[in-house]
Amino acid sequence: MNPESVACRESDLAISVADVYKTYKLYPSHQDRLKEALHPFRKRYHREFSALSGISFDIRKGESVGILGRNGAGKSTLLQLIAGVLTPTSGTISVNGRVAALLELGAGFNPDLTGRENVILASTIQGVAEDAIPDRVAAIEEFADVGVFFDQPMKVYSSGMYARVAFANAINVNPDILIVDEILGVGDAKFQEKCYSKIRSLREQGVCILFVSHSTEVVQRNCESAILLESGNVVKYGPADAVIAIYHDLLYGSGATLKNNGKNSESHNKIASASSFLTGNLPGSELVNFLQNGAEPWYQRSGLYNPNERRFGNGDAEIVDFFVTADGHANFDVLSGNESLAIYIKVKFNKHIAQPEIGWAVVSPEGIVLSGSNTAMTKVTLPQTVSGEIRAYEIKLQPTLCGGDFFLNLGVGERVGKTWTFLDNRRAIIHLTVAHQESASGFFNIPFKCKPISDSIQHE
Amino acid sequence: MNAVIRFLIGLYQGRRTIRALARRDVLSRYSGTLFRSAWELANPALTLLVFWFVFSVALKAKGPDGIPFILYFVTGYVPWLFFSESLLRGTQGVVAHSFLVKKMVFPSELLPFVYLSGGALNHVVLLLLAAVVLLFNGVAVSWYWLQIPYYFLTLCATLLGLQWLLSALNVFSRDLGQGVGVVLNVWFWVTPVVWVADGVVPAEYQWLMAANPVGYVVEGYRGALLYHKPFWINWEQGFYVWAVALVFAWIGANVFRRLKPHFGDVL
Repeated sequence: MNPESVACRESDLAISVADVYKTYKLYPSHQDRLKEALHPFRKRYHREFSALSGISFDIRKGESVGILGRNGAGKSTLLQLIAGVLTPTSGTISVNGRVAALLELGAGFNPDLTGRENVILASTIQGVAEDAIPDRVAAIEEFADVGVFFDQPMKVYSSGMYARVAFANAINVNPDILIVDEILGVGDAKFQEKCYSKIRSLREQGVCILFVSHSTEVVQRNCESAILLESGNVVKYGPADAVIAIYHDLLYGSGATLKNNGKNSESHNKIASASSFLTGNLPGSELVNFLQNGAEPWYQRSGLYNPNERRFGNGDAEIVDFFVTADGHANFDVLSGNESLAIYIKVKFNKHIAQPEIGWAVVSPEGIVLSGSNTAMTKVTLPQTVSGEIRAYEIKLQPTLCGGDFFLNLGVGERVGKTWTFLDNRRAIIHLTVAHQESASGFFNIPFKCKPISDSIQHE
Repeated sequence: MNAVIRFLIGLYQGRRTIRALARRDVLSRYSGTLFRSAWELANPALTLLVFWFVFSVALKAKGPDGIPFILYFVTGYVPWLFFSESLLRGTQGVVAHSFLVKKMVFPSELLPFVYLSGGALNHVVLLLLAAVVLLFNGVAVSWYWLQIPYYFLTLCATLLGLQWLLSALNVFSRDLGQGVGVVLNVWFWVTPVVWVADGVVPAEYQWLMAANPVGYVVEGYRGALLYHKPFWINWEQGFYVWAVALVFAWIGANVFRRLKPHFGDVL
């Protein structure tokens, strides 16, 4: 599946999944399950449900892979198969190295035992040498950091404490492969940070990490590649960014992923007289040039364009070009942070859209949406469009940013009643660089003043 | 045959898991509160006392050949207690360890061994108690007492297959645990624990006595501790009991093996 890994030697592979099928048997009742299992003539009582249908991929040693997919796509089944809890119906899974799996919160823990007792018991079952157990328990106690609760029965734990002990237990077996099934969301932010930094350090040590998460941001930050599953099949295995784009398309779009290249240079003829439609005060000749230029989009020559943008949508409209001015000036490299930004976009409509919507978001490099809005949220009604026309829109922002790198998402959507469809969504299409500021830190420079308003009110 | 060898290798590899879980089992019974550990011994001691009072004092029963009833009773009751407790606890075994069975790679077929080795400690303590009672009543220490491990192993072998069978079935229908309790109640009176087998049982029911593996073990304990009888005088029944145990182990292991893949889905 992954062209790079096919060429790899066998010994470089951490996990090799070859043509794996997993079929669940669904029974009307437990009794029918019992009857079938013991039936002397193997009578069938079940219906079959195929959770994975013939998937294959290889994961190299030290690779960290996110597994994405909608509910029921087969993510958990896949992880359980790799962890060895389930056996595939057919196909082979070879795993090279020691696997530590965090499949479910508190799996393998007896709620009646204390954290310490559970950790000791789990260590023994996981095959840790007897004389290594005390050190391991001490390390887990320190990492989990649940204080006196470590010697309390786990049934009195909060779910966060449970997750702490479970995670600490899983990573402290020196795994070659760590499998994490979306349970870190339970801990508080401080512990999550600790877990992710531990995961990063494991990655640096060459531990292969498999990650299931619904948060594409988490996958983007922690994984170099990703696998997208959809109804039991691998849709895509490749670089995380590319897979995330397809995943978004699957979630919000119609499934017809737009290609980034080659579509933008089509007929721009109809815009010839566009400037005559313009209203209000607009910066001079550069904007007119932008609106009138035909064949070659402006943005590709712009230093603001991020070629690693992620794009999805159903293709009924395309954002074909953009143009940005800061305080009316088009030529800038680095922003000082408090300029007024005007973003002009040209949208080509391939269909009549009764209620088009335009949206934007400012995003941090980690993928956190710092702020975002759209015309639907601000209750601005845009005129309807006809097939084949290109329209221009102006988005004005005053973001007051602090120093650093920022990205802008731009999108066109369609609203029909309450349902919302992405026509073209270009994530992180614009890259803005803001100069370091002495006066504030963080993402936004929120206006701030402080002054004394009295002499000493009280004195000891 | 391959499957059997792989199975035995699995047991050997799981020996540390068995030990850890058995230790856990023993600790959970004896640690925690002082009362709990006291109850573990007080319960059988109280039973002994009640039976002794009812049969010796109230009914003026005598053991055969003028042996005090308490001696006759204690030598049979100690192995019976091990049997009934192991069977009750073993039946719940898989369900009780569902936290390990569900989402982990856990060899649940080890569980009968966990209960047998965990219960063995309790058994040894009760045996020592019984020995004290015997010595107080003037029964001499004898080389024949060394036959106890043989009878204990026979009992364990009988329990092994039953535990596999019942613990697996219990996953699917939890009422089985209740049923086992009822059956054990009847089984207790079928086994010569409180009553004397010789001369009491009508001829047409003798086969029932001979067919009961627990009866063989109970009489074996008694013969070794009290009458100083060697185990080979009853070799035919010994042969039969072991054959039954092996057949049950085979059935139990197969049922368990077939049902095990479903545990995760049902628990």
